[in-house]
Amino acid sequence: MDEGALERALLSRVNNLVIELCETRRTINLMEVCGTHTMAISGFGIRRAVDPRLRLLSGPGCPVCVTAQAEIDAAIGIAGEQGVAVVTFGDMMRVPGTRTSLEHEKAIGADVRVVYSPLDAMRLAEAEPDRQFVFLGVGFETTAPTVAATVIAAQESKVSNFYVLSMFKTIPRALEAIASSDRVNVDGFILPGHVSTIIGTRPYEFLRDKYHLPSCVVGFEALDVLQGIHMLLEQVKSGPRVEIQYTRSVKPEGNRTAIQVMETVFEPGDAEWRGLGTIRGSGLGFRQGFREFDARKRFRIAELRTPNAKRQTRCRCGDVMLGVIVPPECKLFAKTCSPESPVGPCMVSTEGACAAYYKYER
Amino acid sequence: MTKLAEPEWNPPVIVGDIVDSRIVMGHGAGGKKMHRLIKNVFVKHFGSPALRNLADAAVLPGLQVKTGTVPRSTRTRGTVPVFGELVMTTDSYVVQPIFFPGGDIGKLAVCGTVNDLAVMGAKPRFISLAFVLREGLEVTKLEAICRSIAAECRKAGIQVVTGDTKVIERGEADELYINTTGIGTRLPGAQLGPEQVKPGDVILINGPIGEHEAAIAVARGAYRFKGKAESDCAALDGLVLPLLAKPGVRLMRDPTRGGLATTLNEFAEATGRGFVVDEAALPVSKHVLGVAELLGLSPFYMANEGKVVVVADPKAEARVLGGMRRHRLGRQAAMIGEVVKKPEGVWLRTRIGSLRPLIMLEAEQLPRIC
Repeated sequence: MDEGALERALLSRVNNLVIELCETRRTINLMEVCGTHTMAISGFGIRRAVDPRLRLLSGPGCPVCVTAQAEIDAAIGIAGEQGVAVVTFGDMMRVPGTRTSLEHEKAIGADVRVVYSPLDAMRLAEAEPDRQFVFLGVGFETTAPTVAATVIAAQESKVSNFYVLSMFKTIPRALEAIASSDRVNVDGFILPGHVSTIIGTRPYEFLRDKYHLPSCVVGFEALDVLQGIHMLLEQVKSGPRVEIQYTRSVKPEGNRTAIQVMETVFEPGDAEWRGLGTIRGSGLGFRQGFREFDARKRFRIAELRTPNAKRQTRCRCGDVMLGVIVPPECKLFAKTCSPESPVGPCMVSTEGACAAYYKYER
Repeated sequence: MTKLAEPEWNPPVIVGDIVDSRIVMGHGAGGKKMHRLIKNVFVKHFGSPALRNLADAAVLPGLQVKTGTVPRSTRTRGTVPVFGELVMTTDSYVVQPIFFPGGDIGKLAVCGTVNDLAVMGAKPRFISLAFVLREGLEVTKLEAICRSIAAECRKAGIQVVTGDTKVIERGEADELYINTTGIGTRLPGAQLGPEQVKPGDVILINGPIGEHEAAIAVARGAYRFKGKAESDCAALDGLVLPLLAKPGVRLMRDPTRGGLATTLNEFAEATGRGFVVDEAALPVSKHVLGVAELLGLSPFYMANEGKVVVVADPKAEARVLGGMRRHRLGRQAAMIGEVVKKPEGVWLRTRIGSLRPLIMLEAEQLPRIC
């Protein structure tokens, strides 16, 4: 069997199924909600290879892209304070706030440091007790448990100069917002692999029960994605289920330990999603007993709301994330909006839908 | 029932006031950002014809050694005759950590300089070394680095002929930086250049990509990887110069910062042709794929320090590939793609058979968080 033969065989089965289903409909819209899927679908050339009537849409699955501008502004504000270091994962560096980015502030003297794990951030705090360290808690249920575990460790080791600016978001509430919105046109969800490893599949059952939408947890190899798409098309044909294609990592009950750690430290709160607005119960705030680590409290960051746009822009990221349009349908795409100078959130991070289209689909 | 609010999206006010107004780390990453800086600042102020090529080394215009001799090596007597055009390159080395699996900053400095000359078809002859040392650096470390420089110079038959030392205060920089200038003589008959490239030419590489960056990522201690991560840091003169003995090689470059994808994009820009790479033919080790996957990087953009991309006449493919494979640094050499007239730019033929663009990145790759 030569390299790629399996993939090509599966691809032709997918395309045959699309042809069959499209006898009674114009298009089939499947949405993924994970930055790694966005990159995989484009990077493996899957979108170019499937029948064009199968539209693969990118939802709000890139944690950097959906981080509200007000949150970035707050992080930049903290970085500007004396004796404070902001510690972050690398991909937050270039995300534009209202006027500037962390990368730019670092270049002009702010203390901004990049780490690969929240534990490294805590170690930095232990090594320099005279400085205050604020870790930017960005991401979904994948990163929240490790940050929660770090907070617990910091409490046990009595590290008092370590804070977390929680900007975490949870996926199921966002899916519900999309499924219930009357503007959206999605026939099924490609569910995120890493997030589902933590939360399992129970939190997605409302998609089947309440909205009658197919869904499937999918892995990240080309074969995974093609097989996941095939399973979703079968559901479109015969009725919605909540399936797992990515069985080697995901169990229906998820990772109980990780969920417990996350729920020990955090409780649900409202969160603002860049491009989508506020989604109730989709954020994670600090629980009683851990609030001494809350950067919002320590640095008196009030309600983080982006003020209403002072400038009208024709950016349609909100519509892109809802699957109403694909990036090239936005008038700004690859003209005034590019990775060098992003106008909208989906162009901001490498995993955003517009950035993926810019990189792979032009 | 959640109703989605109309999005409140305040566009960032980025109109030239931030994108390139200050130097940020991304300006040094080999991507579009760096190329813009070079064009808009450096070429603008000193755009000599030699500089405009933006190659790794310059053939010094109007200078040619008709007959001359250089010492055979630093340690033995005797001389070797030299002739040919003079080629010059310069480079600074700021790698952290200064010792890593497979090499150190000293070995890297010599190999990098030798490679920049070799891919221009020049035999490396002389090198300068300027050290910027931070106070507090242990002299034993400096000596270890100098030993490794000396060993690499001996291997390449290249001599250190001048140097400089500066010491800076603690806190200004990492332990040490090295700047080099290399001088070589171009082999007669080396007809290398973007203008030589034609549709139908083949693209070759001497081995698996991404090894240096993977080794550095692991050496920086962000992960507790099992298994061996070694930099591919090596001098390529012994591999590439014999390939030029007969015609057929059109263009060569060592894909360092920015990786293979960046080098191919530079080729595409310089030649106006399309470069199509076959994903299935590209050598990448399992280990590098593992590191890349964990960090959310793509091996196409990961740095190499012992690789050369060769564009060759298809008629010379067997000879060039055979020549590479006979050398210890080219055992896994492979034909990875071809030059086409259309579509222009760089394209990857994926495993499922579709073509997708392989663009030049804006700046450095950032590890992903989800």
